[in-house]
Amino acid sequence: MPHGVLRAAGKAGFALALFIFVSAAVCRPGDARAEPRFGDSTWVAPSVGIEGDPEDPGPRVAPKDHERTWETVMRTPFRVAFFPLRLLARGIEATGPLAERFFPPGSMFAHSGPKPGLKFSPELIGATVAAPVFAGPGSKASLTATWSTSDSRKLKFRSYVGDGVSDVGAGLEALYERKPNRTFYGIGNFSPSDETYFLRRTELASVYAFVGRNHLRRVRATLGISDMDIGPGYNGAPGSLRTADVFNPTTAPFLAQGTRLWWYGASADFAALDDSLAPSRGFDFRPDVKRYQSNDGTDVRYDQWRLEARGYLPVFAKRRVLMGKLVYEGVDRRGASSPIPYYRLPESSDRDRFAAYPSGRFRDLRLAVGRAEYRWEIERPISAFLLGELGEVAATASQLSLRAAHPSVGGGLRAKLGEEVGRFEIAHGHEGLTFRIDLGADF
Amino acid sequence: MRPARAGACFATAWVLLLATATSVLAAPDRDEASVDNATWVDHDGRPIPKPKERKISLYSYMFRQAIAEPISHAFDIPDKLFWLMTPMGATRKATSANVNAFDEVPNSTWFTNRNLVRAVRPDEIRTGPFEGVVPEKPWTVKDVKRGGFNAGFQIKDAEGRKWLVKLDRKGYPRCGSGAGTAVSRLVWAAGYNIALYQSVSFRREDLRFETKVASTNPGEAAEAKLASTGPAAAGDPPVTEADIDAILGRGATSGDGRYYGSASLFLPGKPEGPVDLGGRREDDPNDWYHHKNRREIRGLYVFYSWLNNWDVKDQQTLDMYGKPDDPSAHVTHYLLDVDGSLGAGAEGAKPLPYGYEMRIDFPWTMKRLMTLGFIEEPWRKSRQETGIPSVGNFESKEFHPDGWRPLQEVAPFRKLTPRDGYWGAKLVASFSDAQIAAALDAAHYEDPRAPEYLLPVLIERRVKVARYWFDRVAPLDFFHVEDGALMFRDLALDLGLTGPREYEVEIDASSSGVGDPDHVRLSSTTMPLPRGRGSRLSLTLSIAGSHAAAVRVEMKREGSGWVVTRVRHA
Repeated sequence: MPHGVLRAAGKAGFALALFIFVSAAVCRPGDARAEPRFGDSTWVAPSVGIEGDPEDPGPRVAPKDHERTWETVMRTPFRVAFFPLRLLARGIEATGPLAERFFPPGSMFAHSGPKPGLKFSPELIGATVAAPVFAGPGSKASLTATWSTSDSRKLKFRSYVGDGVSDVGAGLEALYERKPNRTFYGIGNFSPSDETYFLRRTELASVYAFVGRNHLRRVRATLGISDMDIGPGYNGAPGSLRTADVFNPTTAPFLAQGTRLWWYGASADFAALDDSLAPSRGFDFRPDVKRYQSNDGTDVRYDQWRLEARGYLPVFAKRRVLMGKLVYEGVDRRGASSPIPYYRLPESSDRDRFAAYPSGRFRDLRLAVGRAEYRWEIERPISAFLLGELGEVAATASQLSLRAAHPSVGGGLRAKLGEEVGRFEIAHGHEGLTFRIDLGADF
Repeated sequence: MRPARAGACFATAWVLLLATATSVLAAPDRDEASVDNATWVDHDGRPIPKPKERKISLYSYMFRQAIAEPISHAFDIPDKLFWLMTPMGATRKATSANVNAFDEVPNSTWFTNRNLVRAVRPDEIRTGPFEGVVPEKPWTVKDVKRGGFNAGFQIKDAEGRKWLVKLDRKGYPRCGSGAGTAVSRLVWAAGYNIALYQSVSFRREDLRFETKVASTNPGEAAEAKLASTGPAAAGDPPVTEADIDAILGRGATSGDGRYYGSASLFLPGKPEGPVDLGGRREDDPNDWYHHKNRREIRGLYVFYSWLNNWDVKDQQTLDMYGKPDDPSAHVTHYLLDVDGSLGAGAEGAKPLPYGYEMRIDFPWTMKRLMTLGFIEEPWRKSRQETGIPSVGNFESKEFHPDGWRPLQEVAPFRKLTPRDGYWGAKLVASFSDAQIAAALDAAHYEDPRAPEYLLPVLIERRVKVARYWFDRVAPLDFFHVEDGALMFRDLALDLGLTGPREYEVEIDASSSGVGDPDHVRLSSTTMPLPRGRGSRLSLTLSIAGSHAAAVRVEMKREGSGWVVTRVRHA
């Protein structure tokens, strides 16, 4: 065979082998026809007959859809039963346009800080009129008037300058409060659980000056006057007892007598927290001392002091926090002072309320509370918490003992709402279960 | 009346009421005559009188979607009963209404089959809808952008076209605008109607004003205008240069003084308000199907999960009514504002939980509550922070196609069935790498790291979507007859997600009378068809060794050959 033929055959064989190799490389298994594959940039679906436009006359693809008949039959009773709730939801929905008028969604300057001018905001039953930055940055004046269904009335004026913008600042506060159903159970750690009612009308005014730009590291000096009038209570539960009918001036000093005292004192806040409203790490130490002196001839003179310490510790993450709080509060008569009026004694109410007991349940010359909480975030900005607490009052520090403390265990939800904290708490103690909603809590 | 007698009367009345309701509801519709389930075009563009514009309050909507609906579902006792009856054949979710005999969504005023039936060329994707026109400079400022979280303004470009310009957030150039532009291209190529979004940059000198009005208090004036959710009215104060300067102050800028943002072209026609994603527009006679029962809207869950478009709500859609003075006018349904996608959020980078949890997510809330906060959510585990300002927070490693969540409840997403999910996954899987790259190219990212990061992430998410849904529903599709054989595509095979595999076919030839075997095993995507005299065939195809739901194919003889008459996945 001629050499040229062999060479040509060799070339042809090489070309064939190359063709087979390239074909095998290009074509995937199963691609016998080398059709465009789905997902390729050259894909064309086979046998899809799209002709015409939706605007053209022609058929619809399916009849109108309806809920399945048997589903309607099954759901109807539940729709009837839940109709009131649906109506309520629709009602809330209907307030949307109104809310948008006051708080436009997506306002780009929503976080640009306070602006001058009068601001009006509704309270539960009442209103607040505020004048932010009325005297420049860091100043605010506000007047709040509220009324409750139990005929409590409150008028509160607050004004300050220099907050957060200056190393020194000052403020003025005035309060008028008339509460006809304050509770009183007696003095002492083992007072009976039968509540009595009395009326307390408070007029209070104070001025203060502070040093410290940051409200978490600040010292404050205060001068003030407090006038309290006492009267028979009303608006308690039917059949409830009046304080004056149950107690006498020995068991409740100044039983039906008001007092007017002026005072001066100092308080401080020494804190190192990562977040003032939802702290996860740090501590907060708050001492507060006041000296009271009557100016109405009743000769009431006493010193009041309060120490509060808080600590926050993250449990491997900021969203889980273990925290503790200790409060120790007391009053000491000075010299031959008259007894301290029962309505001015430290009591388990407001920020010192014992978790599982009614507000004002215990009062005496000394009050101590220890609380531990474990908080964890469940849906920003809401956290759940579990709490354990021991609280006690006594006539002297030496009478305080763990054995006599009132325990509380419970839990709840806590949310950082704007610049405030709201809490919903359920707690159980020796006297049963209590619920508490607190808007404006600082713990 | 005695209690027993009253009870009997009540029960009788109840039964009568139910019977009446049942008979009324089961009555056939008058329009059913014009139905053909084999059509590839759903003719829903017939001329109609102008419907009433739909207006919704954002707060009302958020309350309903984020609180009322989830609570309602939690206490949906019939739904729980359906679930219990599932073994008896009950189904909790109704099938999609607007699906043709081939298990596909026909073209309509909502959707046009594009990439599924013919791959859209990459250059077409780069161009996008409305021929990809761009806002020519200079721009005349007409108004500020009203409502919404992003600052912006309305303009008329040098060609007289109207656009809405939205600024990227300071520090995040191209984050929102890039995501919006790229994602809008993919949404359009998939088949949805969507406005044209263009990534733009401009200088202050490119802006013109019709009137020169001095503003006494620019910040306040701009705030009032931006806060207004309604359109500009005759009595409104004019937009001033000071207003725009206040708005520009919040925008992302380049080193050379350019501002970044997106421009969206005003849609043709008259706005009729947002689409009700759950319901139906009662004053549009063309609107036959509840939107929660439209497959293309249900399937958006899968498509948006791929692209992480977490901001899904009625307000991100818009109905447009024809063109002015057009006697054949009808409503066309558009998607809008997809700039809350990929790693972008209203404040720049997307908050980490977005896309993984709803704003109020009761299941996750309960999980955290019960575990004392020790459960670790996927968004915490994932490494979303890219460190690229134009990308924001976006990843693919922890992404799970079934675990993706929009920011609030979306009615059609709750109704998603595996069949709808499969269809949505098919839509996602139809995009090639080159097409995705073209969409990213349209975004004009100036930071080269952005497309370099986004492309592989989108490819990985696409693969995850396809794998997840194709493992649940056998991805055997595009059935047709050629040369006497039934041919189909195995989409997973086409996409390289699997190697060659075998298929089980159950044949119900009871009506053909040819005595074909009941069961055959195929090793390719071609199946020879019987040549006997039978007139109908029913095939059930599944993948050998797979738990994916089978596909049912019905055929009938036409002349000497066979034609496919019905396909049903799962």
